[in-house]
Amino acid sequence: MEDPSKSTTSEAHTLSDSVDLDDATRSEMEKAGVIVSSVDWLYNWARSGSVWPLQFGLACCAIEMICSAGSRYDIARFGSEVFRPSPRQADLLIVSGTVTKKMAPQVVRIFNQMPEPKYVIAMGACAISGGPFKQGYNVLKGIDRYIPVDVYIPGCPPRPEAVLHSLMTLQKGIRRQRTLGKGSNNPAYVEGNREYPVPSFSGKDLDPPYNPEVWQPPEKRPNMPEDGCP
Amino acid sequence: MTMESSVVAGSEPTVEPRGFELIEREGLETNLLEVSMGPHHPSTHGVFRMDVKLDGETVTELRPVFGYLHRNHEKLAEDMGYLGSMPFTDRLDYFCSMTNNWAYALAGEKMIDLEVPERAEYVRVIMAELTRLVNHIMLVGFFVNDLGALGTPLLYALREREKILDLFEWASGARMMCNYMRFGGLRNDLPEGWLTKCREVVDAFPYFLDEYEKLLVENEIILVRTQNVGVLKPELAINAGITGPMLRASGVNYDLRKVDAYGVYDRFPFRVPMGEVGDCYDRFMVRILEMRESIKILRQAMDELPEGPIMGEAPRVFKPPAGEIYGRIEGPKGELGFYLVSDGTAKPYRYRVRPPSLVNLTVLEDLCLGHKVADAVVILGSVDIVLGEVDR
Amino acid sequence: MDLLGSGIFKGMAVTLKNFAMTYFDRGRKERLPTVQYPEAGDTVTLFTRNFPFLIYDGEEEVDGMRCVACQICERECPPACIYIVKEKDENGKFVKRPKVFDIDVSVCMGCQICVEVCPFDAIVMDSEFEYSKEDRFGDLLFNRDELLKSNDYYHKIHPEEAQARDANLAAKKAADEAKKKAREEKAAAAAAAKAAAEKEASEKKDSPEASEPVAEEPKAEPAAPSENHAKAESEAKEKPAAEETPVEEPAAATDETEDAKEESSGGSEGKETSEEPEETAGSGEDDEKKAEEGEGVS
Repeated sequence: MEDPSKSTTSEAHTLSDSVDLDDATRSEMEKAGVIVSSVDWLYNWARSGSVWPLQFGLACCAIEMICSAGSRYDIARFGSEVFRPSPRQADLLIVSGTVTKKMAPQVVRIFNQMPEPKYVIAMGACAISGGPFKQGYNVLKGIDRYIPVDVYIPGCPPRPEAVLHSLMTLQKGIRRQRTLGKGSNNPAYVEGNREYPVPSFSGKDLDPPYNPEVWQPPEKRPNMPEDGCP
Repeated sequence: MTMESSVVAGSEPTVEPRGFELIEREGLETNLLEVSMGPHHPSTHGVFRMDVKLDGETVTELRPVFGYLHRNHEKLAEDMGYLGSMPFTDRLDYFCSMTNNWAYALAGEKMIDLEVPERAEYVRVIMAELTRLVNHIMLVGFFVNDLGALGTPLLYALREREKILDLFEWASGARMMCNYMRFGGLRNDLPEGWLTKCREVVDAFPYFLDEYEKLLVENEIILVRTQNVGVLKPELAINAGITGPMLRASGVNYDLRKVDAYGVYDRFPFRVPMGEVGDCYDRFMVRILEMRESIKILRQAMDELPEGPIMGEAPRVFKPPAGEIYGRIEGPKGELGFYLVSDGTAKPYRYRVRPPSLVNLTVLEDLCLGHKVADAVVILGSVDIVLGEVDR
Repeated sequence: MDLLGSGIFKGMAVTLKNFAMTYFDRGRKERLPTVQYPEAGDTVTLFTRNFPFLIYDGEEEVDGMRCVACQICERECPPACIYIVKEKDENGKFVKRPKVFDIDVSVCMGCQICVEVCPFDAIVMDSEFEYSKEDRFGDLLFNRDELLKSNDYYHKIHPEEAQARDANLAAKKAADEAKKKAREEKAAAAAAAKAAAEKEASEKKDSPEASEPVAEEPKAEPAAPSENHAKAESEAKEKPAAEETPVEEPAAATDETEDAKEESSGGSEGKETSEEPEETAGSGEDDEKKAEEGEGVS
């Protein structure tokens, strides 16, 4: 989900570029009675308004996820109408809670089973980095080692409003995606159906320890000298 | 896993639990079907797997597989100061962080013989009973959700839970992970106006319960699906170490609030609801009745809440003398205990949780044998497990 | 015996009533209407906590910072998500200010323990929760400048708590001044005795008991002035006694500050508890900074 303006700055303008308007201009024109649209815009508008999450709870955060689906916070107002029990019918995987090393293969398999275009939200500290349990021997230090994560929600657990906020962040990201034209950056169309190898236990740890396609160990801080005092 | 071969009462298709052999009939041949339910299954209350062997639809063998949420809670706690483990106990049974806090604080207080001020004890009782309401109401919601009543009863339950969570958030700062209790008292006093609001919520709760009972208790589908399903005999329950509402549903009168009378529970008159048959319906009803008793306790505790300090003479550095201690309370799911061994340093030498969910889960196979696979889901729902506590 | 199915109809009547009544008593609070979140997101209560932030007084962000980089929060943080590097002046002496103060909110569990152990009321909890980000390593690591927020902001989000803290700080300040005065008077008399004591101590330095008398001296002092202020007293009993030492002796000899540092870490049950989490945390690839920390601190 990169900024499309960066990827398509060349002089070769495609159809979708020529009507690439920001929301303010678009609403301004709509007031004047002009409706300008592109296929991409229409497609993304429809997609971002109907993101159906998978009913998949792992730990504490799952309860807050259920709360956000409850009548008080009502995630259906954002188009995430129902939580689907089957990955085949879901667009969004909310990894809600601690992913242990025993559970990581199943999470990856569920991601593989989802149809494109699919999105992942890492909800809560545990799913992002292992969180408070990251020192444990059995806890995966972040689900983004195996599957690409689109939005991270910090918090332990995040409030239901934070879940709604993350959904809005995701929708903004979806609206930025390009399907047609030269600058297409929708992974669903660029890379085809994304399926990643399911890790397995070998000896004492998961094998592979991370998926190099989606995650690399971060670089050392450039301005960090040896004594730790930049 | 099986404690003893159980006889399933009341249900017609009685199947020998063990030593099952294929039925040979003329022209007919059946095979045992092995089904793995979970770890991603909508009705397993988290990441829990049941390996079920089925003859047709009848369960002939059931093996619970857990550990999908093993988060090294005990090991981490042994690597940390005593206070540092307090927020981690919230994440054990994430529905009832207040009672988890209390059990751990109780164990710590026992270790150094700490007096807890009167007001703190009353606030603890209030918080624990509110937690019981939250837990039971969510259990009932999920339970009927497992039965197929998708949505409505669960949403009603969530609505009531939100009201209580608002109270928790107001008092402690967080909706779920309260981290409210400390060795020797509470972290902060109740805010101004909290008690009035709490009274409002508690007073409105019986009306909701009436409505909820009208919605569910007489429903024929629920009666048929739960009565005489998963009967737990009192002998087996005692032998397996079952505690909490599940034990009382089997007709055993054992409630730590009465037996142990920790805190100030001996000052509150309340009844202990018990079941007769020990089936899923009894377990469901015992919880509903317990909520009514909790409201009684809450009302009395709020009336008698004294003024005063909320923190005892707790030492600045919590360094208990060498020794071991077991502190237990009646959590909403059963006896929640913390077993701490100290070697005199600031970190526990051994830290062990006695999780009610895990112990209650051990009889799952005995309850499910001979029933249909759809009933296994119902029985699991009535056991009331939270995987954070089962696996820790 | 009721008609079969009457129970179901009773339940249906309840749902119908609930559905119908939503149109008639919308304003009733116990119905708990849906929170219109992005438009009217005012759902947090006065005590809501999510992630910690650092307070500064006055206008200047860095100069008004209350944090003195005592690193108690870093030691006590259960998931070890705080990382502090002290600032040094050009002479290589430590200044009472953090140069680096990072909180990894992708690890933080919002338990508020850092707030409880902070002796200077410098770190408090924020109620902001809209932190959903698409980048984990860049956006979810809050550095010092992102964490600094004004005292006015704190008064806005948690008014009661902020007032209590301000009163507590004012009381403490008054106590400090009173103590300073007392100390100045005492200083002349004490200097001679102290010098003698230190001389003795330095002779016995290889024996571990030698550090005991040095450590006890500052501990005994704060007890006397704090009696004047009931409020300060009630707060102070939770605070480590060592809190005063870093304030009072800014430019003391290096030996003394080291003594004070050792004492502050020993006093708050920290030393043993802190070492392990840092070491284990260092094993995670995303935390290579933590591994370096061990060298940085000592």
